[in-house]
Amino acid sequence: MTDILKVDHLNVYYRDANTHFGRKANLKHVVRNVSFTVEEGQIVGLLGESGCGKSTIAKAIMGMLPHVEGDIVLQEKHPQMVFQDPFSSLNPVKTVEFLLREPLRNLSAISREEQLERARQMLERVGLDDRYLSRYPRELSGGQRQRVALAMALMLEPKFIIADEPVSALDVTIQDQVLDLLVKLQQEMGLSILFITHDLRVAYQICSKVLIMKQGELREQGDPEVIYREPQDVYTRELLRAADIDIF
Amino acid sequence: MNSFWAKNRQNRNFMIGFVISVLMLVFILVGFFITPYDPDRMDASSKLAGLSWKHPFGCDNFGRDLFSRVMEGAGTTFLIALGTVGIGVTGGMLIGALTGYFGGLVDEILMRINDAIFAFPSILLALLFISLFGGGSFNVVMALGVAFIPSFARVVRGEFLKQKNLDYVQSARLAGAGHVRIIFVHILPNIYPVLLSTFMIGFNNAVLAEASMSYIGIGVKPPDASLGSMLSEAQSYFFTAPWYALAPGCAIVLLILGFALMAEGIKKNT
Repeated sequence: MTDILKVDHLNVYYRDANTHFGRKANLKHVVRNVSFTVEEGQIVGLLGESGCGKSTIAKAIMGMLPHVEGDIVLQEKHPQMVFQDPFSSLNPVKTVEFLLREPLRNLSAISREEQLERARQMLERVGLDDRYLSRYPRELSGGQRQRVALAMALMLEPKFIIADEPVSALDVTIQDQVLDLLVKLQQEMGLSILFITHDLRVAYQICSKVLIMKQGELREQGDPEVIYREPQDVYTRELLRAADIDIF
Repeated sequence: MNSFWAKNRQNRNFMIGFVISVLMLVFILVGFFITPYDPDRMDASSKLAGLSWKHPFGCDNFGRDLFSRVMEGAGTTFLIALGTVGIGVTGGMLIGALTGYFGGLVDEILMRINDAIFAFPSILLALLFISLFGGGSFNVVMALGVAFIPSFARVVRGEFLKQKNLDYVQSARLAGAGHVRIIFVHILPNIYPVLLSTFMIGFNNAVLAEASMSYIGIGVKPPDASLGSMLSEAQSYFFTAPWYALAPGCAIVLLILGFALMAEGIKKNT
């Protein structure tokens, strides 16, 4: 198996808030020496409590952060991302059609009709029909919005996407539907996914590898079957106990 | 646009303002093409004549029909205010978008210059501009327009700061949209209710600024009429012919009231 993503000794720093121009910026070390790989066609779960640096790693991989050290090798030119909150990740003044066509308009050279056709097909794949093309995000439910967000991310048929807590903002009943959809599409399209979550059960369900993080450090990584049964790290054990999972 | 209309139609402020503004606009538009009398024609026999069927707003000290002059003056004032706000909004939007979106050094430099300009009253700046380049309508528009840029820039910058960190902007970036596209296609439509109400309030300030400048005699040149210049001419006849001042005064009030109420309504709904 080839690695689609290889992260080697990643360090990320944030500039402290209140530094003004002219004064030397103080840097805060938020991700420390993190190394891992994502293989082709694999769903890798990035687990940890809020504020531990999960989303920071995602942003670093996407190239959205200024102070990054270490190597990130990604075999995908246009990686995409599905955000946690579908209420803010879809532009409120654009129709679903506009949003789905946007990646094609900017990054491909295909005609208007072809773009529309692809948008229709993708909408169908995420379980919505083409009546939704003319809708605005505010006219959709949370689950439908997340489906649209997923469709938008997949328009360019990327090999790699990051899903940042994609179901945390949804109702429990809707969560399973969206997760099932994500796994279905992952298999159909041969996607590799970095799945960020704080939910150990969800990670166990869909991930073939998990990474456990605490305070910017990677504590443990491997097959969830193994890790959940025999956690090596104290923190992993704590997490499992907090989530009420006793497999060991 | 439809949803905008549907949302604001329920609002009483907006609707009253809308009706007043439409009436004023019709009044001004008609004034561009026909007026009951030639606004500049003097008539010694009707000097300072009171209200009558022949002259519904009365006549001024040269016997000119005030109704016709208010029509002409309101048109002039309207065009000057529109030009002023046009320059102010265009400049303010560009500066505000650049500083708010990119931040960093550009932001610091432009906003400090902005603060410096902001510290002076806009009329004072416009006066300075006019004393350098001379009077006349065109220079008034330029002077006021430039003086209006900082206040618009401030509002737009604040909105861009708010919007640029939202996920939809990141998502647009991942979809391959460039900075220009993100600023104009993705973010701008999201802040247009705020822009619109700022635009209307700015328009009112521009009407008042034009009136004040013509009042102190550096706006339009006689015999052309603007609402401000008419007010200043009427000053000496305030007790003998109060209608002389009332006619342009009421026109100013109505022009401003309409837009102010609409702006209020839009603000409440967002």
